[in-house]
Amino acid sequence: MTSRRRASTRPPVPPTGALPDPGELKRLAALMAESGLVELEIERAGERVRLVRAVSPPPTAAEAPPVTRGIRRESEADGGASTITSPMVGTFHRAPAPEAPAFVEVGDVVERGQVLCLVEAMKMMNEIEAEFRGRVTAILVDNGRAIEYGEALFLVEPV
Amino acid sequence: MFRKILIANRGEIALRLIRACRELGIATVAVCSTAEREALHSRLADERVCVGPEPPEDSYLNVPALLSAGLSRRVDAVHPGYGLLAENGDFAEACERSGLAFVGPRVRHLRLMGDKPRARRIVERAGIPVLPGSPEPLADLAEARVVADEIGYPLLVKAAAGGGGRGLGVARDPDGLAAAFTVARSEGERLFGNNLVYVERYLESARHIEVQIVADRDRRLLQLGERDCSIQRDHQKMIAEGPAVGLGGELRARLADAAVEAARAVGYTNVGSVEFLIDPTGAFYFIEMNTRVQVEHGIPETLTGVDLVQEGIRAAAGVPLALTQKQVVVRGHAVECRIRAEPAVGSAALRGFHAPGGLGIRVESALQAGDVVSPASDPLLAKVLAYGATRAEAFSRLRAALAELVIDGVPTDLPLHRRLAADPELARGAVSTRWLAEREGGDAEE
Repeated sequence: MTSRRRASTRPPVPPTGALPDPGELKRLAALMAESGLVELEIERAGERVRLVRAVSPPPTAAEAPPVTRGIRRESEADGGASTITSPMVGTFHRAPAPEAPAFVEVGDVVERGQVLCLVEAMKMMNEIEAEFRGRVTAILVDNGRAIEYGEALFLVEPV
Repeated sequence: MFRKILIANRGEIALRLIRACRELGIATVAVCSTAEREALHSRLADERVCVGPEPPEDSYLNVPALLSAGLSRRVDAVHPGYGLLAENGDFAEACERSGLAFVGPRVRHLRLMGDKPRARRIVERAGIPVLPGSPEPLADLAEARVVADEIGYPLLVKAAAGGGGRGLGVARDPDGLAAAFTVARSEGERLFGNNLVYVERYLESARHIEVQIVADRDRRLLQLGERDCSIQRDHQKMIAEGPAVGLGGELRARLADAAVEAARAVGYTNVGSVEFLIDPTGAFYFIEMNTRVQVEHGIPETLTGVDLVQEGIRAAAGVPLALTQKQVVVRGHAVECRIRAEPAVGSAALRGFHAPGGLGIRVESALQAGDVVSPASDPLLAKVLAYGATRAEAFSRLRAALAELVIDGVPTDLPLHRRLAADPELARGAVSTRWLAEREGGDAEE
């Protein structure tokens, strides 16, 4: 089921020196927008800079991303494994947060309804659930990559 | 200027937009349905995102998927092309709320000009003639009858949110009004999601002429000449040519002024065109404004040398127009054919495609041999534009180009285009919007 989360990303900050220059601020602002981060504060050598992003109103019902009920099971791939494809366009996240452990690893047995990954679409995190019990034999997409509709994400072998 | 643009369209216009972006040094992201992953626009763009299954409402009209594609690929603008979501104010607003610039006019221009009776009222207040009609949408057939009796027949019943020749019904007498009312209302509901209709006097014999406009965000506004789009089949434009023949310098100037006034009346920005009907006495009437790059934009581009797609992108980025009206010079003559797939029940595979070329020929098409043309694909297969120093030279080049064009395996209206390009009556001069139907022995409004 769909859930909304606020990213707790810690943006990379330059290792040393003074406060961010304009170019760096721009990059940080882009990073905040992209990660859904609303506020960011950096303190260095007693000086502090705080960035607050104006949050746009949540999408109306008509524009809300398609609600994801689990995943799709496509044609049988080699060795009896099924290809799990993305039901939506967005960004692929293997874990609920950058430092958190991944939802699944190769070799894991997943239960029906278990979350496999998140697809971020229009700043909303959509949980992609397993539709059947099976063993994950391959993870086909790198964490953080932009994915398209129908893109192959996992190979899962029914057990 | 933008760094990266999402091309929210397909077919020949998607290619046109991608090419313009490439010249401007802007990266492009194409969107496609599952059926068009290997389509030319998907392959030509720097990146491609499949946004959904084949039905357009699940892919090319799927607003959340399009926005997600743009955001995940970090574009800074969205170009809607023409058709699909190009004149949809809600889409433009959703883009802007997502932090993506919409390449087109402001949301308010889309909303205003998309409401045809309202656009008529505003333009009329600016002193531009409009056809007698109902100033507001009509509540029901009874109200339509009252207005119809005041205005007189024949009448055109039009969907208030319509455009592009869709959502129209002609009523020649009170008996025909109910049928026309029903047609306009149901097509409006089905195609534009709005069942409001209004009526306007119908001109039996008129020329359809439109004036190209381009405006920047600082209200600098230019007109780039007119084109005649009178050759229509079921209210769909088949052939456009510019300049319009036999117009006379004075009428041409008045039309251009009226188009500029109409655009100024709403503070228009970006590219657009203002459509007029001209009756046999030379009186002209505003009918509507298209708030997007038009299918026929190649004609003003060829005649003036101004790249309208690039100008539209620059205007949306807030770059001022570099040209002045004095620098806009219309030279020569251009004629363009829209080659369309004939309505078909099933899908057909394109066995072969050959585009003509040579001096003065411009072909815009996204066809490739092996493509499958289905009822869900864009019926516009190719545009063939011919340019010449004179009208005769343009038509001569057009005939040679159409003779050479091959679209094998898909039924198209190319045979009709070949006949028209060689028609002696058309070669003699201007014709009216009824001419083709009469020439073909059919009835334009069945």
